[in-house]
Amino acid sequence: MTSAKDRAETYLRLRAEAELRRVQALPRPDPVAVGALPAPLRGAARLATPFGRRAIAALQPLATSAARALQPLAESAEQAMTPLARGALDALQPLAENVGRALEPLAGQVIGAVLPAADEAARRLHPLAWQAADRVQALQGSGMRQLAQWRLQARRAGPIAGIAGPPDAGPEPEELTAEEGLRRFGMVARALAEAGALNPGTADAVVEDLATALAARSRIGAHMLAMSGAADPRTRQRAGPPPGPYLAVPSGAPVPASPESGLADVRLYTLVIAPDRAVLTVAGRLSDENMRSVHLDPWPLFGKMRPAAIDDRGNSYQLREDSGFSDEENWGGILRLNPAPPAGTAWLELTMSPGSAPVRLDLAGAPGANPGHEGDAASGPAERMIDAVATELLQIAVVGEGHALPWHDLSGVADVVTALEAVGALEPARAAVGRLVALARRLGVTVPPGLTAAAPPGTAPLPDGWRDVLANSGRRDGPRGVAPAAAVLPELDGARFVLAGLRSDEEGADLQVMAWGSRVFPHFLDDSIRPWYWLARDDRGRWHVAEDGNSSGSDQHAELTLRLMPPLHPQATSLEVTVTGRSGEATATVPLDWR
Amino acid sequence: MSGPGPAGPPWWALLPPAEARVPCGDGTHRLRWDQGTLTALDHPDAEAELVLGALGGDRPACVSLIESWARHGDDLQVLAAGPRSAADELIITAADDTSWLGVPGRGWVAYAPLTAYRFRPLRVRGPRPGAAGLTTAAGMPGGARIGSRPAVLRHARRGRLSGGADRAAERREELFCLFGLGRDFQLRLCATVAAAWADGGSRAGDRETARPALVAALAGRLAPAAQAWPGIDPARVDVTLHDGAGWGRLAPSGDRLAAALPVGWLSSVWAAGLAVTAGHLVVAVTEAAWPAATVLGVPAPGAEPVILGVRAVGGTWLRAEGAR
Repeated sequence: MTSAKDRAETYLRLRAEAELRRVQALPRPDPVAVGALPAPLRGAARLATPFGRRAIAALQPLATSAARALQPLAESAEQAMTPLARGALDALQPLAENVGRALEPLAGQVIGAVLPAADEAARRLHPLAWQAADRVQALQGSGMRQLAQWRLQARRAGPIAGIAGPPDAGPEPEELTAEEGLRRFGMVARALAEAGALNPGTADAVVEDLATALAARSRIGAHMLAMSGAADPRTRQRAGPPPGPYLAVPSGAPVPASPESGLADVRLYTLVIAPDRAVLTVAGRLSDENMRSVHLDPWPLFGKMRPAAIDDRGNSYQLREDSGFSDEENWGGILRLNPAPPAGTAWLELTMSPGSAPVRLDLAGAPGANPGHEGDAASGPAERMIDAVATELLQIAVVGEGHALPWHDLSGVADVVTALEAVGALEPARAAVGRLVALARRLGVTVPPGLTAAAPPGTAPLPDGWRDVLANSGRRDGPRGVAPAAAVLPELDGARFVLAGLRSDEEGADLQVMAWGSRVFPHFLDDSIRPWYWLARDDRGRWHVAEDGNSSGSDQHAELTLRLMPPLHPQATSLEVTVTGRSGEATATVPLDWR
Repeated sequence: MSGPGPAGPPWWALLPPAEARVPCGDGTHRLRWDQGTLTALDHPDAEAELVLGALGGDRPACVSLIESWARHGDDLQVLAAGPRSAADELIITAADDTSWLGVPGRGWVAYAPLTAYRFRPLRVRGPRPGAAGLTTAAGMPGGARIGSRPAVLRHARRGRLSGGADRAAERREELFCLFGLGRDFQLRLCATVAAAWADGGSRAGDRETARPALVAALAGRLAPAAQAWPGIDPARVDVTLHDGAGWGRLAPSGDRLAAALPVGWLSSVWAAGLAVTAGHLVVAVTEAAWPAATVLGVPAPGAEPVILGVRAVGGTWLRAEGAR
């Protein structure tokens, strides 16, 4: 007897066959264009090596400085560029090494002369690099989705820009390249897995098989293979957050900053103690106009001061700046406490500078995580997945006054819905498809036929929260202030989120979130429907959607800044924050005691 | 291993011997596939070389390829990646150094057309299979021979391929090495895998667990055949796996074709290049004596199969003169 999962796997594998046929009908890419190193260059590379090795060693300080300067950009680009970079590095290393063998004597002199200048240049370029990184980061926006929008925009503007394409072509389906098709296929496969229709390992294995088939026909680049082979699809297990207690201790206390920091109103947000680290979130206001857009690293928050802490048992701790971010007005940062306070610590007393009043944090009285997540029994993973798409659409409608909406592409989710329908897994999510279609139509976003066909007849009513977000999207009446907003959310879908500070302004609010788990960091090149979406409601009944803002992290940990929009109600005194994953949702309510 | 059924000829009966020359050590050696067996002709004492390899010495490329062949003898990824039709050409070649392309491992990549092979000796990592895994072929001139997969290799396979995040890349790389032997070997490897999962094959008992992959393997190869036969859109071919006696079923349904075929069809019919012969969709081989065979062929959708005598002439199957 064929199980539902077997049927789903059969569907996916047959779809892979269809995708392979589709790609085989596309024009074959030029082998040179896909990256083959020409033979003469390969030969030249063999002649050149050791110089490069020495050059690399000599230039390392410069590279380190540059890397530090470009860290935010690098962190974002890392996900996208790792396979490519690894390839480029591997390609260039033999070349560099061979060059060095030929030019070694000269290299020593050159390096001796150049290195001090380069070091100085790096020092001077450092702040500029931050600014550049800021701008690139802003440009990056929502990554591939944005790129898709630009492409569509370019096609529409074709006659003007000299790009081929019919005028007013509208968002007609564009033939996907082999690599785009593979990414789309992966998105559908993962969605089937997340909806529970397929085992995740099976989904990944089918994607891997298609990638291998395409590679064996030179239809995809090696970087796609490297990406699809990054994990072992047949045995992979996602790591969850580190086990153990998580604690969020609110503070809000003002602390002194060094005069050279250019900061005013520096306040401690929240102390977060996790099994693998203890950090303090800090916020300040840029009082010195000269410091705006400078983005120093490290920021001279304490200058020559040496902040330290002691606990109730007489243990002492050091504090050092771990990371920071700033915009034209504000600075925020994370201080790392070393070592992490052991379990049972009753209080910590922080002294940020000699002579300043100590700040005591009561650890014993701080609430830990809620006992369990609050699942919405009425909805399932497929429904939450479609709602995640709708929430993203809602967020795009609110951010930037919805300028990006006309180019928002729903063809990917339409493919997912078609697949869910084909394997008999759509029914629990059909109402959500109706909501998505209704929202897209209201916002003027093109609805692919696959979505329309899967939606229930008639126009679905929008949930109250969505309507409220749309109704308040133009407001600029948010309160100005910061609040500790400390809360530990219960573990959800193998992730742990801790709220660790809130800064509100007229247009919205930035919520600091520390996260642990395998999928907590937004993946630049991941086309999957995002695994989480956030909604918040203040006690005056105003709803807010969250946009992933200035975030950094790795595979297992992230420091997220979520931009909540529309702004908080000016009289709001508490905020209920809800994160929804595939298995349910988790909620915490934090007081808005503005400082 | 035999198929399509107990009464039929062995699955390799219509696959003639094939040879490839591979760089091995300081020379160029011959690999020969014959009657379902891959042999390293220039390694008269492969067992001893295997032992030396296990002790840390370099393993000859020929021996490594034979090991890989055995490891992939029931690997369904072979069918997922392998050729679908005569027009479906795999483009695999070896590069001097492809690590810069981001392909983990030892330098196989699919880029340029198959013009020349350059094999780099593979070195087996992880647990080493013992020498008993390779048996000297009786009747073969001093060759290492792999017929059914020895137990020791099954252990080695688990040991090698289960650890580490790059297992997928390693599997793929091995696969590309084998595909790099050329089209004849690609077809024979596909046939080997299909035969393993067919009735009488080493994995026949596990077939239920692999049904989706086997259905896709059949569909991916029947669909282009159906297109070449009565011009059916490949997307309109619905395939199921036929279990039990008989050759299966082909039933038109509107503009679609519903087909039920056994896995053995892939090894005995498709791999031999017989799928569409003399305007018939061949569904089974009843007698085989290379280069002649008697097959069951369906002349048109909905028609009953007829017995055809066919003969391979210059790489093409033709209806035999004077045959039915």
